Amino acid sequence: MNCAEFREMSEAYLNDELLVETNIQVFGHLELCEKCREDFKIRKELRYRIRKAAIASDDLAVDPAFVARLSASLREHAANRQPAWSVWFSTFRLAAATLAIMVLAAAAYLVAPQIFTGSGDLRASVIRTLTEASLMAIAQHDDCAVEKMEMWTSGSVPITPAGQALATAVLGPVSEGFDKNFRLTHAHDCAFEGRIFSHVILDRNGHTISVFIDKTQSSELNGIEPGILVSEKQQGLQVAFFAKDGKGIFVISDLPESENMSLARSLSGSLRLPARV
Amino acid sequence: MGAKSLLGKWLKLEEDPWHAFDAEATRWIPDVFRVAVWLTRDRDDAEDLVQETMIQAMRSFHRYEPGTNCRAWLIAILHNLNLKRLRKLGRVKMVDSLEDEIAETIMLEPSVPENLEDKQIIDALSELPDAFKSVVILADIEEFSYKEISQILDVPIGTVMSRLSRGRKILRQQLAQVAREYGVGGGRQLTAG
Repeated sequence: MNCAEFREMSEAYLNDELLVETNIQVFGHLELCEKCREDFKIRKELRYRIRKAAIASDDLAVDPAFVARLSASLREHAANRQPAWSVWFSTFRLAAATLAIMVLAAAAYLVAPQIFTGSGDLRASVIRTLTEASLMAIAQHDDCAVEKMEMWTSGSVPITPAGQALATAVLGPVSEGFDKNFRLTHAHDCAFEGRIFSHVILDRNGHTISVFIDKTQSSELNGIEPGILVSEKQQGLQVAFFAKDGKGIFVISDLPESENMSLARSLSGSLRLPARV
Repeated sequence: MGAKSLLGKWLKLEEDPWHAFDAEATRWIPDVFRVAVWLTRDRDDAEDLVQETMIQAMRSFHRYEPGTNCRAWLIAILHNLNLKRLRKLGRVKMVDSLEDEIAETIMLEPSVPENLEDKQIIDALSELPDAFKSVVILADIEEFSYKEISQILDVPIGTVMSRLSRGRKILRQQLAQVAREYGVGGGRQLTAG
């Protein structure tokens, strides 16, 4: 290696970016060439001084009070899942219900195989998957619920015969087991994470109810005892889950817990899914 | 396993995404802030940008690959948000040919004054054209690799190398200028690079 070649490589050498073999060549040249050795020393020293000056500068140091405020703010955002949700809850109750159901559906199905097998670091896996599913669901929420909300409520997107059949299948047991005040808002299929979900949205006296069915046959769900109903409160919404014929079904609403549970119980007992679902 | 235990397990873990993010990301706030100050040149703007960055990072934490460089990931988000901010302000400035020419014409690298104060070094660095300054800061202060800088700034590695080299040349020239203005001496001459 000569001096010209060294100068070409000196910047990369300074940043420790050269291959081992090239490093050896550069080192060999520096041992022999006092002029380049001096040049390199100066470059290295300048780099050191820049970093030292920046790290020591009060002007570039973060205010601990700001870090504390920011940490608190982030924790609050995390507790609310997403800050935008709170706005959506007040503005788009229907959309919020849709979002919550998709989050839960996705998380359950993504996590289920690992829980059933019990393999790996389950807790870490569940946390990661739930976070991922929640965040991905927001994109789906934007696409499916928020952006199409106006079309759905205006009726500009006609319900397909399959959607109508599903809606009828849902409305029947709900009306029989509950009351006749349910009105169909929309029924459609949602593609999410490679799975297709049927999504029926109902209105009952201003309350919004989403019924969400995974169209994929899930062998994992065959292990769930028939008739088991799970109820949880999520993001201010009541969430009920049950498995039927190997499919996972979610009922999410802004109804009181007892009413949402009754609704889900009606469906779990009487729902007969159309053949195409 | 029944449905109740299936759902119960993860429904009870709803707070844990914060803990995962907190453990991995929040410790880098001082580093993110330092870069933000360089980019915005204003501490208040930097705080706003850091806050926006950390919120965005938390929302996108599923995209972060554990075991990779979280600090680089955060600063890449910071850089993107800053670009958006600058576009809104109409202050996006590309590396123009004149700046390239300036860097290319510095054939003889000036002496490096030994008695400059830290503030003078920082001021000189602040005066670098943005594209060069970003690379010098990321390489020489934040000590990111060429590859990481390439990913943060979304430019090829060759561009990182050339901007770093040119940025350092301009910086040396500016430091020499400062030394002349303030009568600081004791420098040593670098050969052409």
